[in-house]
Amino acid sequence: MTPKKTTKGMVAGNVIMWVVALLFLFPAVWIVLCSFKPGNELFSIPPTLFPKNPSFSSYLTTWQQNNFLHYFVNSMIVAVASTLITLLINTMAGFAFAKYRFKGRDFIFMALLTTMMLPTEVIMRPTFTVVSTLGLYNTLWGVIIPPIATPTGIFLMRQYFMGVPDSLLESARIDGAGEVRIFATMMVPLAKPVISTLTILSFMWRWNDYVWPMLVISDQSKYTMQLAIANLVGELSIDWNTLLCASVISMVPMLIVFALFQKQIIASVMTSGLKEG
Amino acid sequence: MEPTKTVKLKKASKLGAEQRRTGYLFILPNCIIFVLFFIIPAVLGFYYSLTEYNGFGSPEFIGFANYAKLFSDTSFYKILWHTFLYVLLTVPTVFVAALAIAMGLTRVWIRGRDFMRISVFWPTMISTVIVGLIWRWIFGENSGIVNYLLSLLKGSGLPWLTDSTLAMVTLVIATVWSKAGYFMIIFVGAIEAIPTSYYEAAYLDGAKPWQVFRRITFPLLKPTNFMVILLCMINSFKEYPMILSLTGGGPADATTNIVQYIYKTGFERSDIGYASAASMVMFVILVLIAILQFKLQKGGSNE
Amino acid sequence: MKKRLLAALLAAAMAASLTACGGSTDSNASDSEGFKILISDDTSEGGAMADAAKRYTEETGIPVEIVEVPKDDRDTKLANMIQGKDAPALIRTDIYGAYENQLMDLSDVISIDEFPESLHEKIQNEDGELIALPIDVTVTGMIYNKTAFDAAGVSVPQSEDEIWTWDEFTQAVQKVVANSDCQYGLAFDKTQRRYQVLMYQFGASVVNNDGSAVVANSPESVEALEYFIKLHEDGVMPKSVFLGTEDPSALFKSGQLATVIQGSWKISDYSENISDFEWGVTYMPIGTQRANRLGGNFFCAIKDSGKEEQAKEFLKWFYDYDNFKVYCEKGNYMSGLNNVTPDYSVHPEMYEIFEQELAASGDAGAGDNAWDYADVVGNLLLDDVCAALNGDMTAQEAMDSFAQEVSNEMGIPLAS
Repeated sequence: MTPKKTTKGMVAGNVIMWVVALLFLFPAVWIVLCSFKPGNELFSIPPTLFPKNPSFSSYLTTWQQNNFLHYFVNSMIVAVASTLITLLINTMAGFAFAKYRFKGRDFIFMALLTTMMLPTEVIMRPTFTVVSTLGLYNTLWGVIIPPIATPTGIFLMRQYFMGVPDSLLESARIDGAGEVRIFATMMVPLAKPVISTLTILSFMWRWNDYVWPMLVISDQSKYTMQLAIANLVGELSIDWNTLLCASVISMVPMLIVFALFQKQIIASVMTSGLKEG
Repeated sequence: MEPTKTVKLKKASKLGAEQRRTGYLFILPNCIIFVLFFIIPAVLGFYYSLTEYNGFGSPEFIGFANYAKLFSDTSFYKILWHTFLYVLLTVPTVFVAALAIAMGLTRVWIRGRDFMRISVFWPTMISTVIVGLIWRWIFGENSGIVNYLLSLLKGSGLPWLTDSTLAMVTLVIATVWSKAGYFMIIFVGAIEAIPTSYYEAAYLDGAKPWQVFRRITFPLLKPTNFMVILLCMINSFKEYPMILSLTGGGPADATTNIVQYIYKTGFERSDIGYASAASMVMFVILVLIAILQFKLQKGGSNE
Repeated sequence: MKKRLLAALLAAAMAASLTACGGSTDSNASDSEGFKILISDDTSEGGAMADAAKRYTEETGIPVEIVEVPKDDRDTKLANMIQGKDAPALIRTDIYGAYENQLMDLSDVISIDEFPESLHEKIQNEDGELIALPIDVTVTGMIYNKTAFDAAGVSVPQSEDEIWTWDEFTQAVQKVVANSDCQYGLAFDKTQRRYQVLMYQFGASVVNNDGSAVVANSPESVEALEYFIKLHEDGVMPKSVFLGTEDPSALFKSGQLATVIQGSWKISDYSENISDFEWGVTYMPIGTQRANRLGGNFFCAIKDSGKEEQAKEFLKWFYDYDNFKVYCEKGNYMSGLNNVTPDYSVHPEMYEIFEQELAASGDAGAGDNAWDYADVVGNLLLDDVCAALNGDMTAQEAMDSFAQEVSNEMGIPLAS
């Protein structure tokens, strides 16, 4: 493997990487620090790094006054349910596109990818017509189902399965295993790292989704976090205190999901590495 | 591709039939969603683009008048150029940043890699609206921290959001911050999947790290590169909430992209027909880019 | 291991969604009795409408559900709700031209004479039906940094007799900037309504007073835009607001602005969030005339919502003297009803000056007020003003192009 002893290059590399990581970290940390500043301190010149009189009251009002707990739960339901379905159908599709030959495969793949690239924002009206015709209007299912077939997910899965040697499949087939069984018992466990990645990505997309909930939901009791946050930005007055707190609150679940699955990605890579060695 | 060996032909075709069935079965759920929520709306959208429609009441058929109006609108071409410029600037920057950071964070001798991965990835998890607001807060010309620090260093700040060029630079910075982590994690997965035995051989031959990267790592990452570039390009074309909340499309319309243009005409001016026509044009552009790249990279296969 | 994790997550999700379904049946707004109000900007303005709805429910037992969406998405939401057979009974909006045909006549709820006469043309349709009921009226006034003015030894007009001309004002704030911590003399929100205040003060408007011709490219209008650009070039106004996304309120709060032209609703925000300096309200400068851009929100009731009677009942309750007064006081709104004068809890003396601005606004821009051209041309005026400010075109070109577009889209001729 790589050379064992520490060189000047390694020290420099470490320093550079730390600088980069801290640069990436700074804006978010700055926002977190600002969220603890009381309203009259937010705009003080010169800006202070740490709040002079840290206050949690904004968090309390954000959480209680605006019914955020309820929106938080709704967002959680949407993100978890759609992530599970996304994982299932995207893994299936990605595997099929990578490992099976059937008529029209490449065409369908291209069609799926390109059409889904069209941002929903630009076809909102017609999309809504479909949603309401299907009876999904004003239901959480209406937020969960439409965006589950993510092009990135299919793409990610397909790329991953293309790297799996065909010989593995062939030997399983010779052993008499059916295609569905091969997929479920061999391929899915094999795809653990990429499934973890897609879990993080999908959760993140759905958690942050604004367009679909905005289109579909009209009961305020079914609002998600992002809808509630959007209402904090008024046309002429932004409630910065509440907005900063709400933003920080909305980041927390993402951080937890990432921390959970990031370990899994590393672990799975390490196990596969051991097998090879 | 086709099974040519006559001996295996029979068996292969029987196997092929089962594979075909399973293949169709596996892509079915995605296809249903795709037809319902993308094909049908796209067709309906095309129909709206041939009508005069304000969102209420019923659409009135006017043929290709919206397209004629669109193609004679000089600001449309300006907006298209801004959109392309943003894509051309962000894609390479994000690609290089993501790959470089991923390379760094896969070196075993870097201390605290887990922490760094989280700190680089964290921004990608923040909703794009909030990303825009964060950077607006940071790059604010009179109340932002960056200009405060600059004014300590050199006496005055920079017009980050009121100068057309700097506004684009600010956008690119915010985009790299919010997107690089996402592609970084994809690269990390791909780099770590490369068997270590490949490297060992190279190092035994006395190759320098840069040579190893150029001759081994980079070529093996080809499918991933293809994916990252394509996804990044499409994301950049579609980027709207972040631009809206960071620059508002300004100064004037210097950072207004095509999605914002569609949104403005469609919803601010209640002209759904015209906005649909612009959507169709955007759609054609996206499809062309995807097909072109797909052809260039032969589908991102390893061969 | 993974399967168990997935199963656990799935179970959790199902349990959660079941609870959610149970929860949503509790809010029985879709029952026969209750109804929905579509609104935007309520949360950011203090939630006065949510409060009114709560009071109504407490008094009558009829559930009211507030559906709040950002302003940019309001029309989309309304169209969707109508299409989804879930039309809101009422909508609080500032513009309703795009769906005028879908609105109910409300003349049996309240007499039009209860509302300011300047709004009468706007709130009736061609058949003379009362389709919109004014709620709050917005006018702008000038808020200034008292500490900075005092430090510079500059005084602000104390009465309507001492009002600055624009040139006097510019000199005054330049002196303040030179002798205090302020960086800029003036800012106002990046909206075309705010720009129109300046336009009207210079004697210009988009359409003439009877709405028969587009006059947006008149010499007065071009002069107003040139003056506006000059204010930026001289550093009196910060470019970061109209060319960027800087929030003028944030600038004022940080003590960098000598003055800011904003609505009365800012008073409560500033009372809460400014502690480093003293501030006050004074009169806006005069051009060829004193002028304001009357804005505000209206209640409109949707036809065929199936809740027409509930909507009317609510409106009767809402426009009751006491209830309306509480609403205005909760949101610090200026009343759209003639006979209601809210008692503002903070700085009532400041609101008085806003009331005086309202009274002095005259009929400048009356044609613009009556016409909902913003529905058709959107923020085109703002776009063209910004383009001129950015140097993409001259003031004359910007106003010519704007006037032409309004004329094309509205079918009103250009003034010759």
